[in-house]
Amino acid sequence: MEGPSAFEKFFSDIGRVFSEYNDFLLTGLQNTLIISVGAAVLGLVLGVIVAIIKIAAVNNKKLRIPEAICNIYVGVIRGTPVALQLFIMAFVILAIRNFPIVITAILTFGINSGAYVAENLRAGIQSVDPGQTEAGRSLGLSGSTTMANVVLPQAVKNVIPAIGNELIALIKETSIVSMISIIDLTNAAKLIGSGNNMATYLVPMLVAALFYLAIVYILTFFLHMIEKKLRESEQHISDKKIAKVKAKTERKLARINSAYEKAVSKRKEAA
Amino acid sequence: MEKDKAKMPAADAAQADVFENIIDSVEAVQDAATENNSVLIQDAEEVGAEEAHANTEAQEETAPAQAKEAHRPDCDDVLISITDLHKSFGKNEVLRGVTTQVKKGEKVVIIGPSGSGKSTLLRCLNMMETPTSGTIIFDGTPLDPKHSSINLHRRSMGMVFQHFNLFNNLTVVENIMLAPVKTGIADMKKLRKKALFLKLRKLFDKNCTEEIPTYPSKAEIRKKALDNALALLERIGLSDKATAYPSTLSGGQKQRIAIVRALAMHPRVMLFDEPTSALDPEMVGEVLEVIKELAEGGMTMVIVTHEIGFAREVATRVLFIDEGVIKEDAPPKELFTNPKDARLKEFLSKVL
Ligand SMILES: Nc1ncnc2c1ncn2[C@@H]1O[C@H](COP(=O)(O)OP(=O)(O)OP(=O)(O)O)[C@@H](O)[C@H]1O
Ligand SMILES: [Mg+2]
Repeated sequence: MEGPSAFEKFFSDIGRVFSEYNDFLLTGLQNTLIISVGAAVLGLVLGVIVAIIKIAAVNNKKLRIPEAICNIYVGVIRGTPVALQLFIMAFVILAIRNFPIVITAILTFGINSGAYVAENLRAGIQSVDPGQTEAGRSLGLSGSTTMANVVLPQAVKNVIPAIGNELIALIKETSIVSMISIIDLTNAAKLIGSGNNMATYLVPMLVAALFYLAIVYILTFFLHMIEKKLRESEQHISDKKIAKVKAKTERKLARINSAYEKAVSKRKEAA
Repeated sequence: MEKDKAKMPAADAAQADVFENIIDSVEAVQDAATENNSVLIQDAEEVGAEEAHANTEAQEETAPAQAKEAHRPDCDDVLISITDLHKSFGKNEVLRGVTTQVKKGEKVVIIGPSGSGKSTLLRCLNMMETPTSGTIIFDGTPLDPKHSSINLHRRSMGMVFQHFNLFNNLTVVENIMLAPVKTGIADMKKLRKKALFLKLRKLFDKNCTEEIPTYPSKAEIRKKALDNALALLERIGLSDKATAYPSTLSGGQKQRIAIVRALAMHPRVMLFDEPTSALDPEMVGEVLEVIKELAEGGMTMVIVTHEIGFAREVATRVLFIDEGVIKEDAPPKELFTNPKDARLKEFLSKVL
């Protein structure tokens, strides 16, 4: 007798979580997404800047001080727990009355993941054959043009899996923002569970888990897509892929031709 | 989800532009100190190399003047002049005083045992390696690796590597177009800036007679680079590979494309570092054929190679390098049939 009733209760509880607490859940989901996306963007930007400074500093003595700052940044961030960083940010650095606490979280996680992204990217840049840079420079391209058009695209391809892992870890790590009283997905589930009507943690926790899984799956899907696209230039690609690359390149070349013709006809008109 | 997708990690072409902007701003800071008024520098291709070099020279008043003077009188047909070149890697002294000249149209072949410094010498010629001491004068201008004009000089010095070094992330036609397009656009931007500046000046200064420069549009630059790339591919019979990635090509095809990629910049001299050593034997011929054709067309070349037969056929002069110095310097007939240096005799007995 007990089995089916527990079963029924489970499903009715799930229904209740969605209907009675949907506001709560949505707020949680929204905060988790805002913090994750904000931190990911900040982390990527910081990571790219730090990685480039570190690589550029190898050949440029003028960048020694920025490099030292980058080294301290990466060292401190990677050497201390993220929960501690969050507390320091919330209760020391940004302990300002009425400062939006979600921004505090974005800054903390962005700065945190920037250090990891930087290290991944730096390793990726260094793993690109130096012959690629040499070839670019020997043609008279500047260091930055070679970096942007030849080295970085190849480095990014190599580090997409690692950076993808970092982003996935970041999304899950944001669950500790409950420690500074932000209502994210995890905190929402906890609060629903401890509410007087629910009397169970299991159902809300499961619901929250489903949300996290969905987010991570979607992210993984896009990462795979990007990875596949970037692998186009690799060996042993199928005839179908070769035809696809051919068509794509031909479209690019056609665009060059049509842009030129447009420019020519425009000039004629003007004359 | 749209939002999420838009903030995905850097991967797309669009993203590359973002990178470029970031890096450009980083470089702008770096270069601010070293870069002179490079507005003067015009596209060597468009304006004619002569004029471009004249412009560069005008800026190089700070460069080692004595060396320049010393080599002025006999620089009429001398393209590259190397004087007492030394290069050390830490305690390892690889080049110990190399002095020689390369005249326009000459085909200089460099031979020598492994580790003797052949590659190092070649790489010093376009400052891929910074000499420890000594000077290299290219077309009347001393090369300075720290000066921003070095990129301009490198455009006139094509280099072909043992391992091809085609850009793996670009298709064949994009490999060939990249440098002409990027340098073309960079030059165009400088000219555009100058034109704008002059127009502004003419508003206030009626006496200003300086002519406002004209500059090509991006569309024109790209179109010209594309047509040139396709013509070059046609010339080596690889038109059908234009849209393929390098990873799908054979070694011989890669090296031929690497050669025309360098040619796309209209260089005045081509440097080859063992262009056939990494190839399967059956592909050596097709690459040497392209180089021979180029030689017949009058291109000045410096070639490091172990292909003695090829050296005999193509070289106007052969340098034997050993222990970081030129041990023998003679036309191929003389050097191969009547070697004087003992080490050269030993070397030839091994490779012939
Ligand atoms: N970047 C570098 N750093 C340190 N040592 C180097 C470097 N490049 C070359 N060397 C050293 O300089 C010496 C000469 O090298 P180089 O490549 O010029 O010889 P090579 O004549 O081209 O030989 P090979 O026929 O094998 O190509 C070698 O002992 C090599 O180890
Ligand atoms: Mg070598």
